Amino acid sequence: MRHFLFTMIFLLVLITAAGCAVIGRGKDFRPIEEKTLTQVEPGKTTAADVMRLFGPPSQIVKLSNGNAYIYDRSLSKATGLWLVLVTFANYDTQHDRIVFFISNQDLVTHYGSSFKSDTSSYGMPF
Amino acid sequence: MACRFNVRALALGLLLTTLICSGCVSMRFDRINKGADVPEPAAHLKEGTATLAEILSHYGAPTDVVDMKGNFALLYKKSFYQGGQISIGIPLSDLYFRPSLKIEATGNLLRHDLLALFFTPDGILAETMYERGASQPFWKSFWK
Repeated sequence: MRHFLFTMIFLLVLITAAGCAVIGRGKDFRPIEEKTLTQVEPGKTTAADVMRLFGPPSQIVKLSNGNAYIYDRSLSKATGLWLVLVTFANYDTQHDRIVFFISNQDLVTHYGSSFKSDTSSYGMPF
Repeated sequence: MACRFNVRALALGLLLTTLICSGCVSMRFDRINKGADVPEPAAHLKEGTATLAEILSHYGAPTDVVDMKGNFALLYKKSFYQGGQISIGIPLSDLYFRPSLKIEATGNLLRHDLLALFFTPDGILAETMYERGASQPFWKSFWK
């Protein structure tokens, strides 16, 4: 009897636990580095300097007194767990972003940066 | 003796039910998180006095910059998606019956944390708007 129950429980666990787990990682890469920002000096650095240091921006927003150059890259991490009856999927995307405000005289007036891609993580949806 | 039979029958029944249902019942749970946490508005960054430089220094780079024909706005945004699906189906067509039975229920909820900062053309903070959507309860928000 004990052997029979053990076999049944083993088969039940085997059936319900059969499945697969997947992890994935996706990167939208642009060569923007935090340390390069030390070379940027508001009031002196020009738009041309910004593009020499960081390449062409991901997005340009026209403002009344100049432009905003937006540089963006992201890191996505995906986790999936497929069991027989239940599927769990989790996606986490975090960005590194720099925004330069460029005056009509083509000088950087302000900039802001956020480097959060390292905080992207694997996990379950609960 | 009767008890032994019942336990065996129960175990076999459970195993068979699991085997049968494994192709017919499925559940799916999804979560998608996009963007970092949006900070609450800082008390020391007051409307009418805080400058663009102070804002960028405190909050970092915004998600979006929006031109408002003179004024402009910085948007800081985080999206949080939760979805679920339960599906029950009996593929009778595999057994040479025409009709098949399938019942499926899905639900998903996309919530946002959003901080919108509006500036005058000379870079002075004019207005702040903040909404914390991701912390809203899932079920209550879903059925609202």
